[in-house]
Amino acid sequence: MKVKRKYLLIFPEQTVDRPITYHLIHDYDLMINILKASVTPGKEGRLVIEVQGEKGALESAKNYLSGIGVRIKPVIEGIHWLRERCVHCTACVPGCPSQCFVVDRKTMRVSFEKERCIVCKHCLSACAYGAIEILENYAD
Amino acid sequence: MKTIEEINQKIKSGKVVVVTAEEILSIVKEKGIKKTLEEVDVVTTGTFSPMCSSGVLLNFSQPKPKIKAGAGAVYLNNVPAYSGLAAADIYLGASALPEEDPRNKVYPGAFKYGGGHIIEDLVSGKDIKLSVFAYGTHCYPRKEYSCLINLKNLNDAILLNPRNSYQNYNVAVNLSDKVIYTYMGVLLPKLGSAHYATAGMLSPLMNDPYYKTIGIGTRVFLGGGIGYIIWHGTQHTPNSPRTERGIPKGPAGTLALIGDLKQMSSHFLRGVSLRGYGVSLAVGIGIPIPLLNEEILSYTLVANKDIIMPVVDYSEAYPNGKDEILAEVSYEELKSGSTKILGKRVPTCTFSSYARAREIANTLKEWIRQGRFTLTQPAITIDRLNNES
Repeated sequence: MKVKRKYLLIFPEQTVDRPITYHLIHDYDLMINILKASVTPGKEGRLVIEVQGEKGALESAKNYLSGIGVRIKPVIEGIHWLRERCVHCTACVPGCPSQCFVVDRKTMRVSFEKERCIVCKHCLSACAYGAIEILENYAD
Repeated sequence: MKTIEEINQKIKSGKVVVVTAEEILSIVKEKGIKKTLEEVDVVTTGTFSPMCSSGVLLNFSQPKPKIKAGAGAVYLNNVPAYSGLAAADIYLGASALPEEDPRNKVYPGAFKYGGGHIIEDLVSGKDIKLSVFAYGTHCYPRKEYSCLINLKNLNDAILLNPRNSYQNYNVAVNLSDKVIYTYMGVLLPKLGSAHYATAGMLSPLMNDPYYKTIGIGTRVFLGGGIGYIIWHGTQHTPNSPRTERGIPKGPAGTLALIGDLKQMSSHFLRGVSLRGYGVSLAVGIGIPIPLLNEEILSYTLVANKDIIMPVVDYSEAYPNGKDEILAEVSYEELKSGSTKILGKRVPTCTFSSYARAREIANTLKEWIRQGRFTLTQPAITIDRLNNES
């Protein structure tokens, strides 16, 4: 059975120089979409990926990652749009790389398409009205 | 010709006809100027945007023994307020920040809480910690005082804004190759975004571009309550270049406003955190335009396509005070989500809420229809005030 999941991978500093994404693709036949990466040699790395593949292969890949010290956290939620705080100004719109914020040009009201979000956090800087929250909650 | 007294009579008898600055266009298109002038009495406007030159004048109840805040140090939730007034009068500006806020030391600063947020908290009915440090006098011996203040227990809470309601404004872009953080927003590099302001055809001063009805004493919608115009705003420049129909082609007229904070609502007064810039207050304002004659009516027919705004590079020209205008674009295009600048299609956005501006114009319309809001005859209109000085 094929499954699609989103994970936050946290790399201890000693694993940052390993070609982990290569192994996930080559050894486990997974389709990997890197949504966000923060990798600096000598420092802890963070990678948000979307993985698609056979359920069994995904489980094996997770065992491989845990085995080399990578912490895996399923991404449950990232960006939270507080509808009641939003004033529908549109400041969040241009910088969003996945067009999560949609403006109805008649009513000039903004809505948030959560499933498109890649948790890049641009909107967090762009919003002046405190209508964007980051939920750092990842399931264990 | 109609007078303000005649319109007020119609408000009292429930016969007044009020429409918004958007609705008036289709009415004139259908009925023509003369018929519309006979039938419609008032056009309502609205705007909602961060306006840094805003603040509150507060008077707190004296403790026993008394304290002289005047020339001492005063803090509201650790945010410093101005104390150079009488013993219990303080002024808190929208841009004030706590002394411990790191500002832009960790760039770009987040500016999570400051003056604008305190004003929002006050108007929401939240308790705010007041701390006063004084030098002590014979008549005001106390040197330290702290307590919780609340909108209900303040003797006075007056919104007093030296500059609001800009008539037109710049469109901010960034020609550099790095993101820049400005009061107009997070400007994406290499002309990656264009950031505009104002409510376009709904903006109060766009509907009376020569300030012929608006003046000192004009009653307005302010922050969800009732306010008044007390002067033109600071940096008021009525003689800026204008289009044929009188619309300024850049920042021009401004207004100074006052109103009782106790009547207002946090829906129309919102603290804002401008990344890398600071804090401010978003203010909702609505001004009624009495349709006194054909000329006044014709000004209210301004459409978004008639409003031309100057595009300015905020990476170089703006900070260095250079009067370079890269292009002129219409509000209609800016509102559509993208516009063409220097041959490039650029996504647009704003901190001003058109949706809320529309809500304000509609709210003011309802207030007038219900007889809750009557019009005032200004002591002097802003155009006459300009000519006096």
